[in-house]
Amino acid sequence: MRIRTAVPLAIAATAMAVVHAHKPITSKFTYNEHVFPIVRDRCSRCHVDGGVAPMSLTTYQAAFPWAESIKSELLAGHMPPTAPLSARELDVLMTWATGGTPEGPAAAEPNAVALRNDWPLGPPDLVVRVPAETVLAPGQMEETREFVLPSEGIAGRAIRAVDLRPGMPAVVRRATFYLRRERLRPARGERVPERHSASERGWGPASIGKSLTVLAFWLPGGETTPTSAGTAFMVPDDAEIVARVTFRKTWKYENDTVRDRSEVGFYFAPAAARAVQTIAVPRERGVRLPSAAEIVAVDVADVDGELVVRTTRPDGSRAVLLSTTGHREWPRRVWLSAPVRLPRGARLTTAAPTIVSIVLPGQARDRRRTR
Amino acid sequence: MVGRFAIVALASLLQLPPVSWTCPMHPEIVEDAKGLCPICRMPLEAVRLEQVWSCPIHSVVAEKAGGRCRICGRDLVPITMAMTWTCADRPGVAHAEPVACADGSSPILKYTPRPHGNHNPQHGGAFFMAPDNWHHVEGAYPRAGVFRLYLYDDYSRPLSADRLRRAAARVEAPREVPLVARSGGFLEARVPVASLPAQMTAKVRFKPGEPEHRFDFAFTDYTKDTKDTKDTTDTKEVGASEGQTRDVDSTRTPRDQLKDLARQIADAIARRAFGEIWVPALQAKDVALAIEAATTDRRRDAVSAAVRELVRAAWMLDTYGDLGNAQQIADAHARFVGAMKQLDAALR
Repeated sequence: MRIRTAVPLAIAATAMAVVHAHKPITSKFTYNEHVFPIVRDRCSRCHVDGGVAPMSLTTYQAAFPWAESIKSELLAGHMPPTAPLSARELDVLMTWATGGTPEGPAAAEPNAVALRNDWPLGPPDLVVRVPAETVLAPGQMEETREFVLPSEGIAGRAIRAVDLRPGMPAVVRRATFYLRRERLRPARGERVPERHSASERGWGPASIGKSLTVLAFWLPGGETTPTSAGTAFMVPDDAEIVARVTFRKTWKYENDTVRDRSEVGFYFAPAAARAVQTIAVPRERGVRLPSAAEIVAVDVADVDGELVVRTTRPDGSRAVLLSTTGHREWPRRVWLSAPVRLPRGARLTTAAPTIVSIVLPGQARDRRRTR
Repeated sequence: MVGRFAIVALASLLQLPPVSWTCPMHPEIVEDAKGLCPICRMPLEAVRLEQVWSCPIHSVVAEKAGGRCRICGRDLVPITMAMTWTCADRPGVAHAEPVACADGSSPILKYTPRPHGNHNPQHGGAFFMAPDNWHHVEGAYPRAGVFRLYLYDDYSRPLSADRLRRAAARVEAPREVPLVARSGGFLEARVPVASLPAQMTAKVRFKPGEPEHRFDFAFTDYTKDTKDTKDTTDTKEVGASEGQTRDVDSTRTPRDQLKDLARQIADAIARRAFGEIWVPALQAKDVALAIEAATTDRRRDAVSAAVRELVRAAWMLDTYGDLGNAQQIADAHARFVGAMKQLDAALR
């Protein structure tokens, strides 16, 4: 960082442009006036007292010592882990973090921000507590557990969203909700659970769409996005509903015993909803659609860095379906702003494996499977 | 902490810079309001930060405008200093305002160096800040086959001989050669490079156990050490390079301005003038933000996505240009070029 003016176009014509110094305030953006609104809207679900992040950013005194760290995380594209900042938001934070971190007028001092631990979509249709409490002893920093949720009231239903309300928000790092079905192994004729390729860090695509269907990813601070209107994930009667939850302490709780028993909220759709399905898109060779389909979402779950998903139609025309960055620590599902209709034979390709959610156009509804 | 200072006639002060607040123990803390130091909780003290022009080797010189050193005639370079006033009868007491002295004499203006207030090379070489935000380095190529690396602290003061010896450093040119502390206050190595232009990479661990930092240098000519020579008539002007003084032609369209700036960035990288990249990089992101703001039609989403990438890449170029790591700069530039293409496609 050097002394800079507010970097107008004529900056280079001034003598200031050749001055080099670090800390003097050169940022035209202040915390109270410009930075706080961004932090409040985009960061405060985690970076708040009691949140899952190790530091609050919701007051000037709490935020400015982290300016260098904020700069590094933004440049690396790590934060925020959900939807990326807009260009202007990014520019405001970078300008402030590198320009002396001015506080701004006291009159504009922001109101206090409290931890939110609610249901952003409103009260769920059904709330289920995970069957067991998780206890992290002193010194135990992380644990991932799978909970099979009671299926009563869920099996056979159409689901438009799944959300989680942590019992101890400071340690619930991420969660994945999925349906797991058993399959028949013909050679022996015995039923065994399908092995799935889920790792600690993300989801491999191998069994996705076969015996596993990811209903939703949950991140602290992430927006819970329901399926688009008229669509839903169908829960077969014989499926297990699994919540895979990762708990992780920050240094604040390193020597404490912490306990969590989270709640999972289900939001149901009308039984007549069109079914959302998931298909795996392997790296390099991609996947060819066996029938016409509407792409409605792309999972950014097994990639660190860039994820670009491209489409090639049978006539050879190409387009970028989604270009974004991902972090294995923070798997998420990106719902497209509008479904992308692709004809039979269209190809999806990507340099990193992913899973896309599709809806078949004109799909017949099977009312027997839903109610 | 008041170090070397210069005395300037008070009458020359027509306008004072605004008051900032700094910690007497942690000068890197500079706030715009009174309060306590966030590190040690000491009350912050008022200070006025001013850009002055100083001699590369006679730091007592502090002039309001560029020119020649009145002692040796060398070109002055811009640095940032703190302004305070003292009275002759109490020289140890500094004030942020011109005060009335008890003995009736005029207050004396002092200019005190600030951390990171001087990023100018002191030996005619290429100057970088280290990623630890404290050290600084200057690479020099005084003659064929000799590479020198000067190490500085946060005030751009040379490290002591003891600290110099504790640093573990090597240079790739292209074969790797250890850098050895010399009595002149620098590290030196004989490098297997005989011709110009020459590219070299220094890798430095300032203290045992600390991370190693990489600094990429390019020399198009042999370095003339301003401290070694009395002849300043042909001394290259320091700090005001071509790239930093180039302006943007505001009569051109924003897209053309952006292309001009992209060319300036590429040019600075090609010349390995990494310290110049930040000016066109930050100008480019401002132009891109203006393009995004002006795009309200159906192209808006695609333009926004491209501008987001471009802004991030511009800040990367700014940051990595400071550090002088050619690989990081190349990666950031590739991202910038990709974002430019993305923006072009979005605007079509």
